[in-house]
Amino acid sequence: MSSREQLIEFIRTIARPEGDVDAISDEDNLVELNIIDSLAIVQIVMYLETNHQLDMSTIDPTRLVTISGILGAIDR
Amino acid sequence: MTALSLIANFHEHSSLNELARTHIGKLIIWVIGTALLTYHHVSPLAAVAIGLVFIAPAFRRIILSVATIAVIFEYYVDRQALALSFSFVAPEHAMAWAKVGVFFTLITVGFYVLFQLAKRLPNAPGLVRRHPVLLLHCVVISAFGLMLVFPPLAAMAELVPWLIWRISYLLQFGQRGGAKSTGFTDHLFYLWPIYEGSGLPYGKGLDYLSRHEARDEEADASSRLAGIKVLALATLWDGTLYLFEGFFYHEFAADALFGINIGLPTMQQAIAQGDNSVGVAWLTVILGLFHIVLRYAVIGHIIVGLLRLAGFNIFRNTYKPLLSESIVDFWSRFNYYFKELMVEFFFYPTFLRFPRLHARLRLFLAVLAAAFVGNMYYHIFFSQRSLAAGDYLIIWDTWSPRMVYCVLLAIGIWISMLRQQEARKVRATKTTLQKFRAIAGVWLFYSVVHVWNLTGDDLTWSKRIDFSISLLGL
Repeated sequence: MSSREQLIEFIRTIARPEGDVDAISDEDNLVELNIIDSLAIVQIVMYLETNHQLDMSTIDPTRLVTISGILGAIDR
Repeated sequence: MTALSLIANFHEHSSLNELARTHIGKLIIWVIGTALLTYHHVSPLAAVAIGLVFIAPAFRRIILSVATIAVIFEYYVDRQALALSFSFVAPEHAMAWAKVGVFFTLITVGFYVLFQLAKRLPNAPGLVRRHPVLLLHCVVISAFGLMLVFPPLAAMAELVPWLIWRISYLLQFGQRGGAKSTGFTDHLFYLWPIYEGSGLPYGKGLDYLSRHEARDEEADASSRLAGIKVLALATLWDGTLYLFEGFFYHEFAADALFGINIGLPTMQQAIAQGDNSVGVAWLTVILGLFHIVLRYAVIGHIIVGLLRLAGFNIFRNTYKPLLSESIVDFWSRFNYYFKELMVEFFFYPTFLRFPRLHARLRLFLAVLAAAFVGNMYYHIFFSQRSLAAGDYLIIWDTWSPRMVYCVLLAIGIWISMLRQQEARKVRATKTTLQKFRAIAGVWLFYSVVHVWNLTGDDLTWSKRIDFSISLLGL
């Protein structure tokens, strides 16, 4: 499974019940599309810390609202 | 699609969007928008600025910035009681006009200096680069200390709650490197917005506003129509508020439709007078929740409507909070830009600071930082005159009951977040009955904690405690 696929699977677990995760593209803003709420970003932060051992102190959490933003953090 | 949803979503109709792009369509929207803004007592300058933005949308930031300069000037002219004075050169007004000039220059030059600082932040020395917002707040707090020893400085205290968070967004944007490629007029219009309002930065700063800024004619038309929609909703909620107050509250009996008035006290009055029956106490807290939601919806819709007319198609500040099924969801929907402010400046920094803590404790600290520390800190600045004069007892009397509200809110949000995280793991769907129960639970929570959110000289700790106990029938 690629990083992207793993990430999509994870977002599925934190998405709002009415959020359509399958329909999102990499540049879509997950908060503005109501897929997740801005407070759910903490779960993305914990996911990155746990699964990718990232030091999140240098990353702006408000950038973690798109798939590309999250993958960018992983790549960095 | 039902007729109701067709009306509710009129702003998304393609034929209306096409009409809204034509000259006649723009004129119609401007006339309706101006009428609605005038009804809500927004400065006529705003309507003029919106009209010019309709003519030249590519220059919207410059137009709004010029309007900002006019509004700043108007603000000080009003404060010096010169608004109706035509004798600009009358000797008795010379000092007042000199003050207007000094303040106006200080503010605009101050904004320019801050903008230049924001531009240079990525290359600034370590501490300034890493913590510009924190430093700004340290400077402001130190300035309040200076006001005690040099009272003339206290004149600037009035501006602190109005400006501090807008400037914080500017510095945050600069810290992220976003300000480098921008000009002064890209920022001026949100630092001192043309609408009346509180210190809350609706639409945050340029980072957020530019992401919602219309880039083509279709998006522009869509934003304008969405603006008309929320302004119409503001008017609807304003009318509902008028009827609500006239029907329920004794204080507004003169506004009652057909003379029907239930004669209830407002929540403030019920707490202050004490000795309420259980039924009246519960009725006032539930109605108190509806009352504050309506008031916030009206104010937020006017401001969001104006920004949408100007081409910034931003989220509503209040979006169906009474349908929230969780405490954390209500917090988000009731006063969105306040929640965002707390999240960005308190929640995230705290959460990121403690990566090694247990997840639940880490989440609790972050929620506490936002809902308690940030919430209290934000509101204390509204006692700016007492801060400048060193009247700390007055500040304590005004805001200490709010500590109870903030602690209860923090605990409620924390538990709500944990429950939401668990629920989403299993992705269970709620039955209609479960949804009703969840909504009722949210109403109950916010109604009861609101007892500690109200301000008023006669709302002492003991009266609030008595009122809270009376809800239990004791």
